[in-house]
Amino acid sequence: MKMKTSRRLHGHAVVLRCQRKMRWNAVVARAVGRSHKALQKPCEDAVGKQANSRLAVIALADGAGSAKHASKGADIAVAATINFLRRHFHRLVQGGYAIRHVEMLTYVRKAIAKAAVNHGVSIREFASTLLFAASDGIHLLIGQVGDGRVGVRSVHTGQWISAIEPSRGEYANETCFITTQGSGMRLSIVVLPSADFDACALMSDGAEASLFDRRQQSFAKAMDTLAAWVKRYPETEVEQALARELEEALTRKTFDDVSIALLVDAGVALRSNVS
Amino acid sequence: MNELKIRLDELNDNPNARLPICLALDTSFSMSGEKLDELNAAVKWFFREVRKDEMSAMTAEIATVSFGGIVKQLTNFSGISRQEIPVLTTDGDTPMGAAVEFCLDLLDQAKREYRELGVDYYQPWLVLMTDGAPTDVISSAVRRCQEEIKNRKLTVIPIAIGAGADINKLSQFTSSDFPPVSLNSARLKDFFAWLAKSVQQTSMSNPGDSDAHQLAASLKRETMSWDEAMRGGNP
Repeated sequence: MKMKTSRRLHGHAVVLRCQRKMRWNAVVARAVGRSHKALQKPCEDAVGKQANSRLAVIALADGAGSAKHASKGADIAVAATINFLRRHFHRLVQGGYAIRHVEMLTYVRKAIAKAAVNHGVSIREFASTLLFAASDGIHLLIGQVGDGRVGVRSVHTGQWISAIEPSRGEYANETCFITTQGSGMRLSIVVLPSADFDACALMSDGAEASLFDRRQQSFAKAMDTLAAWVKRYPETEVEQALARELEEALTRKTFDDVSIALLVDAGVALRSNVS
Repeated sequence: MNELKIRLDELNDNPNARLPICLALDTSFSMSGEKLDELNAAVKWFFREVRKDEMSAMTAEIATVSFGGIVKQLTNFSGISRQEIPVLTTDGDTPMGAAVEFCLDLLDQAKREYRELGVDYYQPWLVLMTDGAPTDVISSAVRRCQEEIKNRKLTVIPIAIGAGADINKLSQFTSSDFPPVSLNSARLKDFFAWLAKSVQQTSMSNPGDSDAHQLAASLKRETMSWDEAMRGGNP
């Protein structure tokens, strides 16, 4: 929604452009799966967020089962992604392949490589998938390498749809990682108009087992329930409840770790630009 | 906040990823006696072990095919908890080529059904066990196996039972990454113990885990530990 009004200020015509700008609430949560619990291993999914009035960012990573430092690798991937998005969001939105796929991946891989060198191991031991979303209220930028799923809810239809098709092999334990050679080719990034969507969800493949119907290719009703929580209740309370529900409900449906990150429209704010 | 609860009926129920395993077992006349008794006991034990572990039971789907005189399918791919444990009997010669082709068809069909139902699956396994040499033409079966292995569609686990097994013929069905393993019949239960453990590990595996190399390396380590146990005087 764009409006133009004008008035005179000190004799000069002043045009106010008012744009509908979305504000986002952001929540994240994760829970260790039954398989890792049985082996007394930590959760190898990582989630993170950073949100203010200018930019909201969420990120999620699922550590590779075969990687010795999967949990740490996922943590680093999430932190580096959020840092990069905070600093370069607008360049990413305007830019093309070079900034998005090359610069961003290089930044995240460098952070992981540094940790690998410190541990004296190959970067493969820190492998993870990566999903992220960021919005300045005008643009919604979404990216993914590996499995898991990113959903967005349309304001026009109220339906959740997959924003990106996950990168998976034929087999259940095959996917691409951020550390895989050539992952730049498998990193998918899309930029959508924020105004068309009022919710965005990142989920690991463990959470996807409960929140996405693979046969019907549709999202579970629980997605609307979760979005309603984020809209109505304080973020801290929602995150506590979400962590509890992931542990009590979602881990019943899979042996894998489960994690989710949500951006939900908190309500419309008008932004004015004076020219 | 009591309102913040997800109702279970709001969640989806996607089926677990499946691991289709085809056991192709030689039941020709030469397997009669102690060898058959050991094989029957080992297969029975394997089914029970897989059932005992919750994750394995939800993951493994086992088809059993015997080849002795004719090729006979004893169990089809389905939830192991519902399956009857097959009982093997001996008969006739060794139509290994026909058995392997039959198993490859079964595995292809299983994968097609999984895809149609939106069920994820792991790379299938074909466990081929024999105490002799094939008595039919194997070239077509060998060609299909090699093609599947080359395209990473299949892992063949070849087991030679006893000294009379034709290792050369058996090795044609597999790759150099997974050469035939020779066992005497007393070790069959140990092999199926390793197989049950491998099913468990695969059912817990995440992206990046477990492939044919790792499986072969794991079996090699296991057989070496049996040899060491033998040299140590343990049975």
